[in-house]
Amino acid sequence: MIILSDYNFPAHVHLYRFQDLNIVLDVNSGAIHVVDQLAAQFIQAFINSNGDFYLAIEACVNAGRDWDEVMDAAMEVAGLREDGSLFSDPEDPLVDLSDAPIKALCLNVAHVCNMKCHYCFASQGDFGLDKSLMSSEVGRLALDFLVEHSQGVKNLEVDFFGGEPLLNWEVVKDIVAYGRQIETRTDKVFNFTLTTNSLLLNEDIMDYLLSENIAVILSLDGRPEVNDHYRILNNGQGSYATIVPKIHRMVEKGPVSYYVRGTYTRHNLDFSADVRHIIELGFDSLSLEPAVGAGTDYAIGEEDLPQVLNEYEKLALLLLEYHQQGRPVHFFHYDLDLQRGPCLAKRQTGCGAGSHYLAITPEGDIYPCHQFVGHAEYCLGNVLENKGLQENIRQRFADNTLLTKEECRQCWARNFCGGGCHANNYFSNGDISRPAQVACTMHRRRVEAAIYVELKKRLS
Amino acid sequence: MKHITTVIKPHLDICRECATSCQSACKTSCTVGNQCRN
Repeated sequence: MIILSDYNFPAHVHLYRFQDLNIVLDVNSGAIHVVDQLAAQFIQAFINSNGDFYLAIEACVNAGRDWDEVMDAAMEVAGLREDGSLFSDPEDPLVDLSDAPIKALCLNVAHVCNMKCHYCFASQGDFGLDKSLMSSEVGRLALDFLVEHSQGVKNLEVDFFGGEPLLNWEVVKDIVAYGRQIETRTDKVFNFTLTTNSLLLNEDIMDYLLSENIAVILSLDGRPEVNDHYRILNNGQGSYATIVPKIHRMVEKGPVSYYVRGTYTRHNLDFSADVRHIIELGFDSLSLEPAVGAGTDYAIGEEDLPQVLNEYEKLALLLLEYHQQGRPVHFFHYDLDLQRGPCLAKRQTGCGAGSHYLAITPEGDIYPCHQFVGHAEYCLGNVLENKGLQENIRQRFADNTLLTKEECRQCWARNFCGGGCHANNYFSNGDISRPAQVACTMHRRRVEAAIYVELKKRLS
Repeated sequence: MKHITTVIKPHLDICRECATSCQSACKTSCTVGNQCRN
């Protein structure tokens, strides 16, 4: 029989009930089990007894359970432990990111915007810097920089961002053309995406995005009154009526990939209604995410969490409702790839900001990611200068992994979030290595809900 | 009677060819679990 007296149960096994299912996640192997009430009771007793099989069996029998039934469940647990899919031991392949390849860039091609959304983390487009547009020269140098630092990585990613990137459309096209030139003389493949408020989308632009296989992220917050509360045109009017027809047209054309991407705030904590609204508009690929901005009147606070967590549960049921109607919906945070997800090394290093992923401003300044732009103390260098990167800053991000953050090491959801967002940590706690607890709590709930949705689909 | 049903059993020359989170949709709520190309 098994004795696991030194096993760190909270960090390595998560047993929870969600709606009608008892679910057990084995954190280290990634295995997920659905268990009946007796098995759930036994596993909980095993955890409570600090990994003593005999005490767990005794606890269940003393609670009135049938001896033979308890033994059956106990033997199943023992078999799964033997099999490496329950109470499995941690394997920590230490990943050295000090000389990591750079494989993705966020190109801020425009530090200017044709909207003035109140919650914009980019200070309504300019990141608190001078309003400016990226030149073709800086854009091309950025791609050269990416290729030069990509080592053996073949798939490279470039997101056109801002501000509003369509305000610098000719330069976007020039950068794409330059990337395609690079592809003809190297083995590199560029995957381009463009994040837009959709205002300037027209037939020519949409056709170009299609012809170049550029994925699009289209901003929309949901119901008209919700969207128009924050997403404001420069003339002070709401944007919903203007942008929805353009988003419809873009999606109708069938881009290589698209997300309708919204933000929710503490003013629409019933955000599952906004998800439903976006789906009913005819969009089946979407993301709705909490506004960032610690200390603002729109960011989610601790006092909002009970309603937010409940809303994520409602959202799970909503997505299953559409699934059962034969209308599958891709909700970004619930689209966990539980079977073919990334390797442990990737999971332990998260988004890769500062090591694999960097942001470039119109002036060519290099930052760890789009959210650090404008914070001069995090500037890593400039693509116009033939100098190396500020490796001390880069090293701080490279060292900031799951394995170096004690709170993350103790968290059962660590292999799904990858250690959280450096910027969220920094803006919440003044330290990239101190997890932002509100964001962590929301993320754990999203993972629980996403696993439930996937299990229900498979079990049906 | 079976008490436990194993529904997911993944397998977590370990390459950076998978997409980075920020290129997908979020930009603010990073996650790695929803991404392997090898």
